[in-house]
Amino acid sequence: MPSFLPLRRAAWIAAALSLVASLPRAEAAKVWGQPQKGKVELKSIDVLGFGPEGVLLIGDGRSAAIFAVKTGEAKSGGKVPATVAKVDAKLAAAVGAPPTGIEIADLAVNPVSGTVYFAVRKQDDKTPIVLTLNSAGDVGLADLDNVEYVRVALPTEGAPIGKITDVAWTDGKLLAAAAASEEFASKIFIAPTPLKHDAVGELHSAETYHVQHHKWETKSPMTTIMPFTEGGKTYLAGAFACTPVVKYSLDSLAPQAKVKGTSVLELGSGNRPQDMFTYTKDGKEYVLANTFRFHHERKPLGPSPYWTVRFDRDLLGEEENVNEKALFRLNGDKPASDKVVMIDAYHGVVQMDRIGETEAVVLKQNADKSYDLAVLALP
Amino acid sequence: MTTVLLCLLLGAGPTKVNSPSILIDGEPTQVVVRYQRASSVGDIAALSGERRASEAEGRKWLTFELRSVEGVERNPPLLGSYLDRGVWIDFRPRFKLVPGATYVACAYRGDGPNGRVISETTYTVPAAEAKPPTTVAGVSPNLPTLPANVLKFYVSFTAPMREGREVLERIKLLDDAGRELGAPWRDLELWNADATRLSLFVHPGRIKQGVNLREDFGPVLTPGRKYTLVVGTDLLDAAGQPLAREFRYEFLASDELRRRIDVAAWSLAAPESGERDPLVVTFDRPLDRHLALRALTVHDAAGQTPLGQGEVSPDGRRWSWTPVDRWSPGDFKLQVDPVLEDLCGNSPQRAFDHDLETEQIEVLPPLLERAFSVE
Repeated sequence: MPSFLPLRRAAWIAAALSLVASLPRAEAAKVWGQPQKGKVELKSIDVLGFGPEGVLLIGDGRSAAIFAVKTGEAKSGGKVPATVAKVDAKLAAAVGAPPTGIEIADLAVNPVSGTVYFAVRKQDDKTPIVLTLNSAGDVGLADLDNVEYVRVALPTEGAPIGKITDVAWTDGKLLAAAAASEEFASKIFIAPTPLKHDAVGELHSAETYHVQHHKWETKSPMTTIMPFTEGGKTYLAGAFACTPVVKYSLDSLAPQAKVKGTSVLELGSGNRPQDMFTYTKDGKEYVLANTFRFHHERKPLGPSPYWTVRFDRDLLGEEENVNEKALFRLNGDKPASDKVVMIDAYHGVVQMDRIGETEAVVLKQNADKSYDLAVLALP
Repeated sequence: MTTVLLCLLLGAGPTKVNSPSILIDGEPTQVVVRYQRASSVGDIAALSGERRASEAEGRKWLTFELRSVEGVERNPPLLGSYLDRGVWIDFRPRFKLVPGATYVACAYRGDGPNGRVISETTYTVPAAEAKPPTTVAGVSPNLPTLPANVLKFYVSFTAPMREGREVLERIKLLDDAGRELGAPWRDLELWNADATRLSLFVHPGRIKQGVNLREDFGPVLTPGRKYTLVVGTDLLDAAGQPLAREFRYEFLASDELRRRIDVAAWSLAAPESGERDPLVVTFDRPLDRHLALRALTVHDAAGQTPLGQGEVSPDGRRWSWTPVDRWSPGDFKLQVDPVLEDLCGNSPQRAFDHDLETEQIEVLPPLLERAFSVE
């Protein structure tokens, strides 16, 4: 049984995908099937995300599960506070801990209410907590005690999940990416909607053409994922530790199938993408991605190891210049194209999420390693 | 009747200011903060009954805060639940307090938390009892020589550790001159379930050939040179204590190993029937001990898996499997899950640094089982 497909098969794969895409698409899937009412029992907290209707998605690697929670939040006219200095200290104090007593693992904005959600681990007893920040700047606790929720198990096949690296929602599918703690492996999990309690996600192994590697690269775990549609088909864009942006077609997947990726952009070596989202500005679509540069000390790209890049959304639709012909961000030390631009105003952004079409809420790291929350205009 | 009793307890007369009380609920990190907000007959008559109060309502009378550093803005109140008991109002923090931390309970005249604090009580949680200091229990692999493209180390600790972004910065690789190597690790913190074992991956971008990261910064390890893995005492355990002592593991880097695991080259020492001697499998190279433990299984001729216990030698070169029952004569198979990896991430299916043109995986499928007979 081959474990990968060589380049020469790319043409007929593309033809097969086109055929699948031409089939009539189902109507937008209903979100909830059979939710459970009660307490969400988390063992850990790695990532947060949101689905439609303000569904809070919590990635819990130690439970090997995604929890989807009805927040019940209504549309709000309030705005995220423009700046909250040392927000880590504020969140920590709300749970009774000093600033170094918590770790902020992730943040996400409820698109319905505009409330900011934080995935927090209290360090002294490892309690996983979801905190909120409202428009008045007040810290609250997301209700996980008596809520309607669904637990979607991620089948690990005996391989322990070290971390769920991202969670996302696209039409009719709940998506998660994970890294194993023993083998070097990339796992993508897909659960269908409507969401049913104790459903089990389908496991897919990702294969990627590494732009720099010039060989089929099969195992690198994705650090961030972002669903999108192109030409009527649904794709997942993912990014890796060093640092191609890759797209995978999701329309023709079968359980246990290997997901074959197409590299469309290389952001440069020595970087790990953190978050990625699309937006529209002046009628043009862009993708914003922030990354951690682990070679900052030896070869900095800015004042902080955390830097952000904007690239044209149409690069994700690229079909000709892909894989070994994919666009590199740099040509030598100079930008290779005006389609990919570093955004100076976003230097230091560790976590971010979009608020509507014009702004993003970001967690910025200060020189003393404290964190500020800020609202920045989308570039 | 209740009112009369309270009058006796509290005494009638001019209103006096009470201070909040800290009631320990089982252990010092779990408390109930109680404020007696009324001290006159009139107040008591007005405040009776018992009900849950919202945080907004409760904070008008009582807040419980982490004490802030002098000169710095007050900390926001702790999250928790309020119980309005008429004369008293109780606050129970949602999360356990932190050992060694100091908190302040502040009382108000119904105009808190931004109104004037009329009384306060300070509470310092006793420091946690000193536990035996945590140390590194060991590192795997721990061979004197490792291939220069070694992919990962497992660092085990004697107690659960504190997780966080800083962990990978506090584990260093030194070269033979004692210089720290820059950013050798993949920036992804991976712990086991109880945070006693960290999986430490050398950045794959500096292992794979042809990747810019390796071309820009070079491989992490060079064959023929000595290195030291150092786990510093600034790494904290779950209780926030530094490690008791630094851990060092020295090894020599040998030539890179970029070949698939060759299952056909393994030697199997089959046991005799009627005994409970182990099946002993000697690998073609040291393997990832943790993966070997779950990737190797024994099956009988009917495809059933007899009960037994597998064990991997400390050097990762041998696996022995001891059955619960005595061996019966017959044919058996050792099955190998392709998830198995050696120290460099090579699996039975492919080399970690897979080369499509030379390896031809489709033409040469990996051998994933070995037969043996018990006589």
